[in-house]
Amino acid sequence: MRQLFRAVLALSFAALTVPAAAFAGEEPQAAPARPASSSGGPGVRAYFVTDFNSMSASKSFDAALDTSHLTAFGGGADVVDLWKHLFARFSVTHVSKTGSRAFFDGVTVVSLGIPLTVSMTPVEIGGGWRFSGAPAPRLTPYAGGGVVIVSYKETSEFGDASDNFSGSFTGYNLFGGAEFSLTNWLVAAGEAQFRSVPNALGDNPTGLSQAFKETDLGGFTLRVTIGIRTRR
Amino acid sequence: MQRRVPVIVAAVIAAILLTAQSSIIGQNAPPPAPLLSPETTAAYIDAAQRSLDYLPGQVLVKFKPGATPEGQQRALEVMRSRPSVDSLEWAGDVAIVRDPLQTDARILAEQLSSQPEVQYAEPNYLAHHLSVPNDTGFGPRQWNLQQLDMARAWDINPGGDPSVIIAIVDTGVTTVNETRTFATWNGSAIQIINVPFAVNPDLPASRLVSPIDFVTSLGTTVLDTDGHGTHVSSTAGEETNNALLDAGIAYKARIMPVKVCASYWDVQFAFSAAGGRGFVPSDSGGCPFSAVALGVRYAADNGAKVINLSLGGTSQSQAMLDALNYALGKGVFIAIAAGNDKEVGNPPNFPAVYAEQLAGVMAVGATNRSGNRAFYSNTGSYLEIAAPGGDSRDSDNAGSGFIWQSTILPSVSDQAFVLFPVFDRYGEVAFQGTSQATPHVSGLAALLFTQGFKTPAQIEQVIKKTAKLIGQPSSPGSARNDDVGFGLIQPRTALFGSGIKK
Repeated sequence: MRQLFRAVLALSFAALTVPAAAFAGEEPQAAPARPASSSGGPGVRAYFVTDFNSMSASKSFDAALDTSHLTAFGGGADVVDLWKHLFARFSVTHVSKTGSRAFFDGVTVVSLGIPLTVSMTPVEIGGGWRFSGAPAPRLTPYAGGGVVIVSYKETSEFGDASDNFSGSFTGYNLFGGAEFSLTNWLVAAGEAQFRSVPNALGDNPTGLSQAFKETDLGGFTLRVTIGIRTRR
Repeated sequence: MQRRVPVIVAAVIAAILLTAQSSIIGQNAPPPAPLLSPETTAAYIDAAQRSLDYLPGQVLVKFKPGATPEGQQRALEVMRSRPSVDSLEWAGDVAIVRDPLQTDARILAEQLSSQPEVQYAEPNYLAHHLSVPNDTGFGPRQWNLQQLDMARAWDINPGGDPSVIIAIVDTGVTTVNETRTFATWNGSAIQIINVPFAVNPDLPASRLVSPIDFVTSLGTTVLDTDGHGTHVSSTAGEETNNALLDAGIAYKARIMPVKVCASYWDVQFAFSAAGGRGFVPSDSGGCPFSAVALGVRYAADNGAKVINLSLGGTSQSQAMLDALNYALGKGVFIAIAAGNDKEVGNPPNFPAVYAEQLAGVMAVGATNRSGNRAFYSNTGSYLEIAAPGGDSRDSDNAGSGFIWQSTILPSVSDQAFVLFPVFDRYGEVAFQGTSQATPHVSGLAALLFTQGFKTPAQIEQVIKKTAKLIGQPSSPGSARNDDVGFGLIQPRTALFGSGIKK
């Protein structure tokens, strides 16, 4: 797992550093070298995101929110063809849901009727590779990974500063999907993502996550995007 | 010879009680009817005089399932008095068997236990309420509720709900405003007196439900002639935010007064009404396990969700354990005082000891204003939880370290101060004991039932899990010790529950 994380970090680093080099020195000359590019140089995809998340800490989320499936909305941008088919990604999503504080007695969950609002804002920085052979493909598969920084917040009615929580946790993600060209400038994509944010939960004696021995704030995500592109 | 002495004592007392009617009848006022039978009055007095932990001449008998009336009668033939099965009094499925010819209940129990139709037989043990009244005066009040952060707990759950009933199985909580006539001893003669009773103004009749008296003949009218039951009920649920007297934990819950303990005055009035001359021993009275078991079953059958037992004794009782199991089976949470005898041998206290084996029954120890175990509070493996019980050694002369609640004023009702008591004057009174700690847990349980907890076992779990351990755990990895169990209750934490992370 640690090696995988290192690989993702390296990939992310490459995704972030290569475009700088490309923009600095190669922009005028690079265009003819890219067979997938119709006009040369990196292109940009800017899109809206809808994430359907299935949380790893499913028992904890089920106990408090009555579900472990959360839908997040946000936006992002991919810079494509940085070097050959390498792309870099930056995206931000946000989800907030209100449930109830609860108690787990080891067998059953007792919902206490005290409103509990959980908010998560994952920031994703990463990159990947687009598998595009044709000059102007309708469907472009891609895969990649990156670093995920999740801002996590819990607030409760009747809660004070010591009862509520706000903090950030870092993890990684791996993803794969396909981009579909709707028009010359409009694109949509479907993507599956695995996200791991270890040791974010389960460290507080009063928390449900410790009762359920769940520590990871990640999970599986189905992502749908729709956006615009600057070039094919 | 030794065995004959109690028989003779009991016979003499009974003879006085049964024959002295004529001396009263000759006086001007007609005698009020005694609320205790002459035999029972004699048993209380005999027990007090001989420091017995059971009522002489009484045993609790459970016959084996399937034992026919003929078989039961055959079993009773072993007794010298040979009582009829038809004349037995029943406490649930346990018969209260009396033998005036053999007052040593241990011998009776042994004889009956050996009969093939009998599942078990045991003396009718006496429990006593576990607190020491103290009226040292006014002081900083109700540190206990501040220590438990009740103000913030009430933000989450303001006093529970009337749908939750707490049964106070104790000396009673007065349910009527009326004056009754009793006979008592004035120091030189029997005198008929009017004794006024009143409902606690800070626990009005609208909060009281299904009262019952299992020690006197009053039935559904309950009169607290001691003050202990009222004090305990006040901690559990005294009216709050009404600018009157003190606060109670589950102040919207309803209270079920279940009288199972005879007070000194109950015995004195009955003794005098039957023509007995003189004062009965000052420690007369007590809580027969037959009545306690009956009270527990009654509470469970009549809608109580919580039972408070601020009483105990040093004898095991299968009948008591059966009653606890019966109530648990009906979904009732039970809090039991752990005992006040730490410095007098620390004997295991029953029925609190049974809590260790029953999920949903908790043995409660006492802590003081400093947050440590109170000096008197029993310790042992059966202790599960602790709550404020007051501590005279952690107090100033104003009694600031005691538990202050509204109850009948001792200055007008305690036999140490008055010859003619009245029970219609209430005020803030200081007590200490595991009796006082226990209703803190009962009140919390009532709040937790309102908050969404469904079973006694869940209530016990959340109270244990959120308690704050005082001192070191008994072993590495353990969450408890023998001094305070899992620690001091934390009502606010228990009611607040858990988030995903915190």
